[in-house]
Amino acid sequence: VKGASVPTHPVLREPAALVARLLLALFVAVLAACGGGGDAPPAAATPPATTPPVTTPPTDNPPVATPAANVATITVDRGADGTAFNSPFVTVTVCAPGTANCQTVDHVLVDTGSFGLRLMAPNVPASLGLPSVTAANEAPVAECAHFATGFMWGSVRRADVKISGETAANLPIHVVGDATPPFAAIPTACSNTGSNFGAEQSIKGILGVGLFNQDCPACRASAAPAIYFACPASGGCTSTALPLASQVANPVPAFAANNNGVAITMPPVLLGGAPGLTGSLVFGIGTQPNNQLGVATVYATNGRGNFTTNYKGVNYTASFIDSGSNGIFFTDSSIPQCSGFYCPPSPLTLAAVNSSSNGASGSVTFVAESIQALARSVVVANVGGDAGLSNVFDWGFPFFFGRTVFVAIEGASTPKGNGPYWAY
Amino acid sequence: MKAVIAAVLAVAAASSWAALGGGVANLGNHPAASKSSRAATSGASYSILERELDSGTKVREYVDGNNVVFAVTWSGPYLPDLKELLGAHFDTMVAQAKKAAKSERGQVRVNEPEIVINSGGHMGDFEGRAWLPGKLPAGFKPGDIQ
Repeated sequence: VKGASVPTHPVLREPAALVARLLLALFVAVLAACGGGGDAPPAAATPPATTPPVTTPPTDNPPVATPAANVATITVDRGADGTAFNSPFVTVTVCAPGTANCQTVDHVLVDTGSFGLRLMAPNVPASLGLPSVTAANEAPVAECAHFATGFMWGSVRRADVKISGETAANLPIHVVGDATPPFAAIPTACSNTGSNFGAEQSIKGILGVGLFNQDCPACRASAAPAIYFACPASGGCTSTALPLASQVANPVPAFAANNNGVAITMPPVLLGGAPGLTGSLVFGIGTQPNNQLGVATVYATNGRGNFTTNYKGVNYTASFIDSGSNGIFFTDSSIPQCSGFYCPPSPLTLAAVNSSSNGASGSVTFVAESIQALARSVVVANVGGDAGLSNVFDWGFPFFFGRTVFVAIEGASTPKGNGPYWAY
Repeated sequence: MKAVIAAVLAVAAASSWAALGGGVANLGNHPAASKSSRAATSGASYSILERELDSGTKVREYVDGNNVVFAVTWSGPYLPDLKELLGAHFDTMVAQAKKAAKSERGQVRVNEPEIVINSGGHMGDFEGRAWLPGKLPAGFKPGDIQ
């Protein structure tokens, strides 16, 4: 039965679980005293590792980068409406191009699984006067952005996008749910793709800083994807082709510097989860002392942004790393499920092997604990859920715990080769 | 099981009823189509209609001997017209996605006695499949949906 997901169990825990948590805390403390790396825990005696496994040693970055022009603080909390879970947020400022007429928006979800900045319309006051992007027929453009969970519909407008000390000037962004005529009516070609994800209240926007530059390469020459729509004042939006330069775009490549990708660093999360977490979104790869690749292994992706994950002997060839997924979603019929997430009777330490066409291969240890074992105060935890798909292993936000993950953008040059790749 | 490419279908201009649980979907635009006939282990025959849409996304419909679609899959860079593909069950998926918006972010799963829907992937590469557990041909297993 699906439904409630917010942990419902009281804070009271079984003594055994408490002891396990104390042991884990002690173990982590010892590890930290040794510099955060060290040997893998003995398999039987210790609770599941929430520190980086020995097979994927941490980079030489600090756990969380110190304030700098290329660093935005990531906050993990309950979100804009108190319901968010495992959701990394940053604050973004948008300005009418070339002006000081700006609006700052908090609780924008950091998403390595999409491309482009999308802000829910109530956070973008009309008084900003962001100019519309127009199609070949001069009609203003709207977008139907596709997500696995549904679509986001709204106008495409230009803004100067500022995150920490970086600026992407005059960048097309997506104003989701813009009810201004002529965007008010959602065309059926959009609403027929799924749920209106743009109505979600827990986030004020999505910052897509994934592997690619734009969100619809095929739209350059074709209206068939039904992603971009021309919306004339006379009414009725129709799907249209749109040049790449007019499409909603990943802001990072548009920065003047530190523009070849990002590094996301989160601290470890212990068993039982945590009531909050702070990490960093660092712009650039190998461009500053705070974003060096160090010993990180590069995993090249295919043209769709996937690599292969082998889990329990099965190859999942459309696998990916997605900070916007709030669990690690994979298929394992042996684990009980509750409200969409796995709920094993006791925490599971699991292993998988990631590999890529560039020959890189490495094992990853991860933890799945029961969503129902979490206290009400918890907003971040090592949880997983069933993907139900034969070729997808979705390394969601818990994959980032205790790691620095680099996302190199397609075609961008880095000290370890060109994107698209992930490195960790 | 041996797949036999039987024919390239001329896609009907319009289907009189919705897809999953009914006839094949009307996906328009004369997409390239191929149809293969298969047999489940029990011997029950079914066919797979595969179409590549103009968007580059591939859609497969599993059709039983009475021309009823009992399973569908999609895979590709853009979502297809899921309302046409899932028929009446589209509303079930939307309702579940709204309910799950406060829990799972990254995928949608419907697991009901009459309908199973799994939708996942990420921007630029979507994957999904859906089937009617009560309408699978004898001997056909959900794992046979590729």
